[in-house]
Amino acid sequence: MNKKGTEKILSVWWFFVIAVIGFGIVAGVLIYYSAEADVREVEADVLSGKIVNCISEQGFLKNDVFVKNFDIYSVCGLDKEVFSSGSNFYFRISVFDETGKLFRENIIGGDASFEKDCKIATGIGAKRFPKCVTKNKSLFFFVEGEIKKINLEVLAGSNQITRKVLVIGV
Amino acid sequence: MIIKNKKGDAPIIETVIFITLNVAFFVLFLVFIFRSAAGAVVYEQAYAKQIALLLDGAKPGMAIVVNFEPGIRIADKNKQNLDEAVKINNETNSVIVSLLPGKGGVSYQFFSDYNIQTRLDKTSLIINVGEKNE
Repeated sequence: MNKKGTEKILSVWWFFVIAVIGFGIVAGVLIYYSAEADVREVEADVLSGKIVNCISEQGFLKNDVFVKNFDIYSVCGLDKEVFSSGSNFYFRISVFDETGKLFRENIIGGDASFEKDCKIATGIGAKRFPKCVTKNKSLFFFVEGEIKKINLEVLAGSNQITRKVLVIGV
Repeated sequence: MIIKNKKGDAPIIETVIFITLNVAFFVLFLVFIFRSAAGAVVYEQAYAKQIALLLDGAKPGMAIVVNFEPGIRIADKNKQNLDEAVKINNETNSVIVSLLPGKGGVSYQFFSDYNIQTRLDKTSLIINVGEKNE
């Protein structure tokens, strides 16, 4: 029996097995640690909460919301540039009366396609689709000396993914 | 007269080389796994998102204190300049966290329109949120 020859083949085979295992471990670790921590839903929740809090006060909707040139960005401290075309964010503010009719025109900012995408993603759980959060709040509103009840609906969405930058320049 | 047992030496050397190579392989794997687990990449992403979310929910006049101890430890270990570790770009509204020198960093955008200033105090990162025109 050629014992030496068998040992050599065995050691080559052994290192091949180790290399395969090593490749598996390296690939597994790289995949696990390079995975994206998905905070899009939290981000959408923060955005919707921020909008609800800044346009309402002690159970009343702020009167400014019905002013013709109402600027949601300056009132809520939102950056207009961030919500410009190609944005990673979206929001829609709807005010309904008690009958469910729109009380005023919707206020929209960001990428409007998110709303449809979010509806599609709800059913199928698409990974690259944006995440949306809707907040509803019943509020009161002063109109012509009368207190009216209205329903505020704020839908916010985010589709931001982590960006790796090569040069740190501020 | 010394007689060398050349035939007997060969299997011992082969065995030693074989064991040494095996040990080297496993040590390399372990070092790789531990470096990945406690690595800068994980912390860069976590800090960038944590800070961006804090800024999203912040209001002017707030001072936010973030425990940055692991970040400082990693930056020190990798000889990264601590002034470069966390940068806020008020123009593009983004947080850039870089814990490795010369390898860029992780950037994450926030939607609040405030003037943000950061500074490191021992093991904490202090973020001051001010009005844009301040």
